[in-house]
Amino acid sequence: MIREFTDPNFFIQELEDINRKLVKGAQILGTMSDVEVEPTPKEKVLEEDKMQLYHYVTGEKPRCSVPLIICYALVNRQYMMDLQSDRSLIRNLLGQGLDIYIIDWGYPDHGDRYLTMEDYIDIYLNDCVDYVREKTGHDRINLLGVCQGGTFVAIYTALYPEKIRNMITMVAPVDFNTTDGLLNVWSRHMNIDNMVDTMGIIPGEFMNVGFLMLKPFQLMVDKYVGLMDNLDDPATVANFVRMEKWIFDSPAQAGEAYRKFLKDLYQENKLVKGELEIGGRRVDLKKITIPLLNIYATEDHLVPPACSIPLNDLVGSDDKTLYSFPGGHIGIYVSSRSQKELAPKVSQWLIDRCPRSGGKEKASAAAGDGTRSKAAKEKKGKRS
Amino acid sequence: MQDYTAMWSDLWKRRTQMQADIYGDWMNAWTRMISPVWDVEGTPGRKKWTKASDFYRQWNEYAREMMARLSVPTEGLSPETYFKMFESADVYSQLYSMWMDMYERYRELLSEDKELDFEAMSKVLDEWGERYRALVDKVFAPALPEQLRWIAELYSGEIPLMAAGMFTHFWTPWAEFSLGMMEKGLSGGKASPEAAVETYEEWRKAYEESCGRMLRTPMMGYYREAMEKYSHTMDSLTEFNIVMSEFYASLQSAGLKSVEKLQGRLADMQPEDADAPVSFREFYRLWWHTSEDIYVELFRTDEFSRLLGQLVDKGMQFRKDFQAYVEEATKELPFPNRTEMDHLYKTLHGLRREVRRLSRELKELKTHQAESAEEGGL
Repeated sequence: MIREFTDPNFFIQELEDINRKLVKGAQILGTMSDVEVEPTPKEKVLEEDKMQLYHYVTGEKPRCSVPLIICYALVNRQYMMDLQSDRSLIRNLLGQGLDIYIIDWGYPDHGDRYLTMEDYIDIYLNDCVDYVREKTGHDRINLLGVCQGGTFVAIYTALYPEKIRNMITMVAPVDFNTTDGLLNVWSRHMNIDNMVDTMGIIPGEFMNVGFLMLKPFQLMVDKYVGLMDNLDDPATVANFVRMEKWIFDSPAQAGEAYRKFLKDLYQENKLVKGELEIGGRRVDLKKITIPLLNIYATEDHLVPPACSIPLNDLVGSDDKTLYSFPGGHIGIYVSSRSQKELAPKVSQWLIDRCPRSGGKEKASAAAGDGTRSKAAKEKKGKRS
Repeated sequence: MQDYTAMWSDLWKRRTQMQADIYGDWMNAWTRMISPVWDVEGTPGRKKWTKASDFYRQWNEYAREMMARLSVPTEGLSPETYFKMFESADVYSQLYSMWMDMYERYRELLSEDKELDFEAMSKVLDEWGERYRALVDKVFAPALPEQLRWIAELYSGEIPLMAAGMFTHFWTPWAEFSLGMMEKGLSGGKASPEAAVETYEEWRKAYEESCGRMLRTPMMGYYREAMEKYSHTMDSLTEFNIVMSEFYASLQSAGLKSVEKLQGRLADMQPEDADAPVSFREFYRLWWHTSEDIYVELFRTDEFSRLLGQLVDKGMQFRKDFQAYVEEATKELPFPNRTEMDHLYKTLHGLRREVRRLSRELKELKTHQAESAEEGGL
């Protein structure tokens, strides 16, 4: 028996509570200006087409001079890692003494429908890496990939192992042959060619419908009912709106890159099979021999653990760590547990592998594409 | 000297007689033509409309008789010409007669046992096709030059039979579908998602065998391109709606299942003291968790994945067809369409990559030159 149905006092009490919260919530929302995200100061250091590379400015000397580039997914925006001051993985990592760069892929429009995975990996990501190598004088830098960005980072490191010192992947899908995730199941029956040929770019709204369907009642009903419980708390409402902004601030996906990612990886699992080709070169994960920190979230509904965990067995590294974070795909960035546990773990792992000489080692391999690092130039100057 | 007076008198009499005959024939013809139409058959007020087709035939016969009797040889206007004219007019009456007969036969078939008989309908249509073939062969074939006789043969042979068959195929699926629905309604079938899916399946079958075929047939004529694209758009929209219906039916089915599950869980949730009620908030949590479980269970199935894949694919096909139609319909307007812009984007993308490659090569050459000069200087 439901008490509100039998005893009107409970019903009246609940109505009164809800109304009180609604009135208060209306006042809060009415006076609230647009929420701010990305509070940590940063400066743009490189721009190419719609891609932008930012450097976080701290004014303090980092504990590890080897710079870290964060490569976020093409889906959604990178500011999830710096959503608000008290829940910023970036701010936390900076506070731990890291020197951080982050890639903003921008918002692809119809003019970008022909951008390929090769463009993203061989050109944009590679240019970012080369830029930071040249600017900092480090021939090998650290790379952290988030979600799809983690897949890109794994592919990139396999193709350009000479440029990367340490690799970190966070909730990154690598092995797509699993039925644990609905996205993995659904994607098998999608006619990707028809989708890309028709739409050109895949709209963010289209992607969001799929994401909301993963947990329909939680994401479309209970989330908002939960907000009602906290409508009288301005801080909670602001946090909610920030998250809401991030969820629906969804860039479109460049058609050709989307086609290859979905067909070669989600549908054919070519990366694990060693059959993936980027720009005519086969991607062999065994060529990754650098230290690897592979982080997955135990409750991840977007990238289930079964997608991420196998990476450790696929790389050729001796120094590899698998880190299990108790939480979901989003909680790994914004939860208080993440701030307390994950950020220190990541920074300490990097600092432990930071060369004591400062990291500006003699270049053992110049950039294969003709771009020469500052370190390489210095070496040549001394020889002359 | 001829008796002109007698001659004129005789001529006048003949003319008068002729006029009288013509008038008599005319009146007789009208009497014959009109009387069957206005006959009351059994029930007062009910007209025997089926005999109306005789009107054309009798009028045609009369006109031919009259013109033959006049028989005035005029340059370029011989009795044969009149004959051809009225022979052609006869086509109209015969066509009318044929369609009316066909309509009547269907009406009779339906009224006899209330059941649709595909074979009986086929037989009627076959007869109709034969009559049409004979008609065209009789009327049009002689009018054509020898070299073009094959056209008459074609139209008098395969086409009417094909048309008859097409009509049968177009009409029968919908008749069967309607009867099926009627039977279900009479047998007291309850509305349920499963029944809805079944209905959609049957609807889809009828559509596939009728309208679907029609919409996918090639168009002809000046507006062929636009009309064909429009037809394809309509076809793909229908296909999309069918799958959409199945999709929603599967969601509804999960909804019903979740209600059943919720009842069970609610019973399990009751504390030992059955009088102690749970709060509505607890009930709400139970509801959404239960619903979520059931829906995710559905979403995990291969069937749902296939359905979702079909839904997206059909949606894309509709969008693609609609876009093609819009582009065709607006091609004369002074702005570029999506296809043209895509072509431009592709070219631009290729050029960007080319410029980038050349810039890098240039940079490498300059670096190489500078290094060579530096080494030469030392």
